[in-house]
Formats: sequence, C-alpha cells, structure tokens
Amino acid sequence: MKVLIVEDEKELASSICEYLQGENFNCEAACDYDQALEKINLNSYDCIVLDVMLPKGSGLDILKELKNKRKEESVLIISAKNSLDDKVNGLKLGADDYLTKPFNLAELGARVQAVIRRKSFKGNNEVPIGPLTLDIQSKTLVGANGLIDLTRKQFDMLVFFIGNKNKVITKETIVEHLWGDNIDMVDNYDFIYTHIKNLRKKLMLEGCPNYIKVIYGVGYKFELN
Amino acid sequence: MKLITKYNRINILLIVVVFLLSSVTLNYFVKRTLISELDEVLVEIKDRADHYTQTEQKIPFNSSLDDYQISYKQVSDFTRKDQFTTVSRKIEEKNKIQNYRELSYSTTVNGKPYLVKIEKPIEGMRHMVANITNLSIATILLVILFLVLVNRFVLARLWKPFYKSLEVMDHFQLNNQTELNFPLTTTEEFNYMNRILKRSTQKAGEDYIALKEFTENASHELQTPLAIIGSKLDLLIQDEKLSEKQEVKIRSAYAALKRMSHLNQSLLLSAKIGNQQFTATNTISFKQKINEKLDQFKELWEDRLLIKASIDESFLVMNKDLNETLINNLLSNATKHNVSGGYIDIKLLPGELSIKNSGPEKALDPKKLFQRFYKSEQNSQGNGLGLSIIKQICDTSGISIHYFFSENTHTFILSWEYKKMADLHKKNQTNLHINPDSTYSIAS
Repeated sequence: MKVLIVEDEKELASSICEYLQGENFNCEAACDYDQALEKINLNSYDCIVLDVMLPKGSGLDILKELKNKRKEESVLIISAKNSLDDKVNGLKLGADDYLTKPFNLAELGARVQAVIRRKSFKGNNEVPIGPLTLDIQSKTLVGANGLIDLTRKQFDMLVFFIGNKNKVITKETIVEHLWGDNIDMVDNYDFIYTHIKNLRKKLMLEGCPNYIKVIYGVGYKFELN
Repeated sequence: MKLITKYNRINILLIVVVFLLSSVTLNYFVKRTLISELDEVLVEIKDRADHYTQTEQKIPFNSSLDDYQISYKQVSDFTRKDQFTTVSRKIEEKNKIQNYRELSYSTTVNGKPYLVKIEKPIEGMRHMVANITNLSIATILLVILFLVLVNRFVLARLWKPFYKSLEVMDHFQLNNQTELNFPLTTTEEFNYMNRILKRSTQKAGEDYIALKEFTENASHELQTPLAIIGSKLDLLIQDEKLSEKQEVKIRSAYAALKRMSHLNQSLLLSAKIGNQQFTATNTISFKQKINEKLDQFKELWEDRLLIKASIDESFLVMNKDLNETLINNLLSNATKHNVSGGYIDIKLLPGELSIKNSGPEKALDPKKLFQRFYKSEQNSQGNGLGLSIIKQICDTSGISIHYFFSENTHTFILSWEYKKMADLHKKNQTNLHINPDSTYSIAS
C-alpha cells in the first residue's frame, strides 16, 4: 500500500516513513506544497498523511485540490494547530481523520490503518488474527466456538495492537489511546497490566499462541506473522 | 483626605491667622491714634487752664457737665513735667470700670505749688475695638463660607475631568482591550495627564498581547521538535538489540518528554483561553458529561480509590471543549493529590458541583492555589497549571469556584447561576445559533 507523507520537517517525515515501512506500506515523502501537488498528480496513493502548515502553501489547499480532482485517497491531517477550527475545517474539507502534534507513531500507525481500512475495504472490515477473526465494523471477535466476549477496552486494545503489529508500543501510548491523551491523572501506568493479562488470557483460551509479548521496562509487542 | 479638604484646611488656617494678626495690628494702631488725639485734647485743655490760672491767679471752676475733669491739689515743693497715663476707675453708680486718660503736671497758682490732673474718659475706644473685633470675625466667617462654596461648586467642576479619567482607568483591564475614552477638557494639565495615561495603557496593552502571543507561539513552535523527539524514541524502542540499561534510559527520556508535552499543551491551552479563542457556547448537560467522564476513568480508579457520585441534572451554557477540560482537570486533580485507599466524592446539583477528595493533611494556600506553577510540594510531578486552567475556565464561563479544607478533605465547589444559564439557553434557542445535537430542554 502506498502512503504519501506531506511534512516539511524532514526528520519527522523520515520517522513516519521508517515506522510505517514495515507494515506492508510503501512510503514516499514530500516536503513542501509544490512537491506534494506534483506527487499527487503523478501517482495515486492509499493514504496521504498531510501537515497543515507547509512551505509555499497550506495543506488544506492540497486537500481541496484532491477533492476537486475527485481523488479517492484517504487523508489524515497532522497539525501542530490543535485549535478546534482547524480540526473542523479539515474534516469539513473531507479529511478522514485529524491528529495533533506531538503524537506517537503507534497512534499514527493505528489511525492510518483504520483510515485505509474504512475506505479500501468497503464493508469488509474483517482482520484475521491467527485462528480468530476481528470484525472492526461490528466490534466483534469470532473464534472456532463463536463470539468471544471482550470488554470494550479489550476490543479497542486489540484493534490498536493489530494496527501496530510487530511493533513495540509503550504502556503510556496504550493508555493514551484508550483513555484519551488529556488524562494526566495517574503517574503509574502499571494498571494496564491487568487489562493486558485478561486480553491475553481470552486469546489463549481460544487456542492462540501468546501474541502479546512483554518488552521489559518499555511496553508490549503484538507478534503476528 | 481629599485634596480639596487638605487645601481648605491650610487655607482657612492661614486666613484665620492673617485676619487675627491684622485685627490685632489694626486695634493697636487705632488705639494709638485715638490716644494721641486724646492727649492733644488734654494738652489743649491744659493750655486753657494755664492761661486761666495765669490771668486770674485762681483755680478754675470745673463743671461736672464737662467731658473732662480737672483737679488741683496743693503740694509741697514739687515739680513734674507733663505726664500722660491711662487709669481705670470703678464707677460705683454704673458698676463698671471706666478708663481715663490722665495728664498730670505741676504748676504754681498764686505762688503756691499745685499738682494738676486733667482726665478724660476713653469711652468711644471700647466700642471701636469691639467693632473691629466683630468685623474681623464676621469677615473670617464670610471668607470661609465663600471658600467652601467656591470649592464645592467651582473646584468640584474643575476637577471633574480628573475624576472621569480615574473612572475610565478604573475600568481598564489588560485582558479586555477596548479603547479608553478619556474626557476632553480645556485644562492643560488634565489633557497632559490623559495623553500620558492613554499612551501608557496602550503600551501596556500591546506588551500584554505580545506576551500572550509569545506564549502561544512558543508553545506552538515547540510542538514540532517534541514530535520529532517522540518519533525517534518510538523508532528506537523497536530495536530488538537494546540492552536493559538502554531501555531504562529510553523510559526516562519518554517520561520527561511526556511531562514536557503536557506542560506545553497546558501552556498553549492557557494562552488560548486567555486570548478568548473559546467563545462559542452551547447548552451542556453537566450530568451527561460527568457520567461520560466517570465511565471513561473508572478503570483508572479501580482498586485504588472509592468513588461516590450523586449526579442530578444540571445545565450549563459554556464552551464544549472547555467543559471537557474542566471536568478532566477537576477529576485528575482529585485523583493525583489523593492518598492510597482514599476517596473522591462528586456531587452535582442544579447550579452547583462539589468535588471532595481525601488527600494530604495540609491545606492548599488559598491565596496561591490558582496561580500558575503553584505547587504544594516542590517535587510534585504535576506542572502546576491544572488549577490555574480550572480557574481560567471558570472565570470565562461565569462559574465561581471556592476551595475548602477540613480534616484531610479537600473540597472544590463550583457554582453558577442556574436561572441565568437557563435564560441564556432560551436566548440561544431563539437566536438559533445552537447545534441541535447538543441542546437539551431545561425544565422550568
């Protein structure tokens, strides 16, 4: 799958590319308005990660251009402007999602996957996880013996892991994803361990191997080949 | 003390002193003049008497009807030059003291030595002095009355522009920039003052805006480098060959980065609230919002804190995002500054929200708790912006907030005028500026 990263900060663009590269993504980067327009006109992508503030123009204008040309690309806006207006404008213009800097690469990865999934596999939102099938649309996990009972948080966690499979994700990132980034309530994220443990238990009961690996001191990794 | 009162005091004191001095001096000179006139008359009488005694060689006859009295007293050899004295004598029949001017000298009549005394009452002078005194007092009183009247009507009018300027300055607020309208006057000093006031307030306003913009821009500019650091750390942990030691260091870097991002976001939010970028308001069901948050946070509290919630319906007209931040910060505050096995007690009534939590035994400093970067403990992990943001949100949303402490219980009580909010809501509805998704009917 082809992803275009439109971001003037080369270091950030290269990080995003490197992170997504492993997920069957083929990444290209554009660092200003003109270069981005050129690439969009020449190629077609599955997803465009778009920064709003660019040299020589605004990311929102690129979005308009895409919509004028009736291009099908999914667009994920990343911006340092977390004002409500920007978000509303971006989504009004047809962006599929909006992410505020600074963000975790895992969060971005999950969002890119979700955005592509929503558009490319219309209706078909089923993801295989070993012997199980995760249906993102109906929010269910189905095994050989039928529906597996997951709490909402466990389901969201599983989707997040799938969006970042074979990647190390920190505990903080998981908590932020599940409980929102404005919770600075707890100084200790160890409570996430209980949730992980329960999810792992449910998956293993259905005959899965231990997918969720503990990376000591850092976080977790969902290993799935 | 008012300037006018101060001025009046000095003025009146001076006037009284000047008038007293002048009346005393006047008295003295009038008395002297009168007495010297009287002395001249006495000398004249003496000349007449001498002339008589020289020509007739006998003592003149003195009628009691005359306005002067002359007496001859035979003495043994005695000479005296003209001598003027003032004497007082009691008049028995009138029972009062009468002052006389007396001229005494020695002469010889028929070859015999005599002491002659001529005296004349100084009647008119007493009246004169009394009159002068009365007149002085009357004048002083009149002048004072006049001064008071002048001050009252003329000075008050002259100072009016000054008080108007003061009133204008009184309404001046740095964070609410409207052009100040100082009164136009014909008084040069006041115009000068107004020009300076206008210039200084404008300068202060511009500086304030620049400072606010600086905070916002600085926080904004920081976001990209923070994103880059974060992304590099995210990539670094993917490396399977990391040693445990390295991982520990990366964790510390993550934690510091997180604190920095939070601080930055809080500063940005604070600056934005200050810059009034959250003006759109909706009617919000506080009950629904709090229940949503409680649901969201329940896993975080599990096994750690006991949550008691009694939530009645209550509506608020305020900005949606600020409402969310407000609830977030209040709950997060009650959680972070709690003790293990403690509790949080949330009570929502129409027009009042109270959040009680167990916590440290020390009360927060009521004067400082809403200040930016106030920390009850210096080593606290919080950034000290949570409460200041809560206060800012309350201030911009017409909510008043109070803090109480008793027996390890910290309580924040937020209150708002429920009726006013309901009216505001009705007004919003008639203006149709409201998003239908977020409107709720208010039971009257």
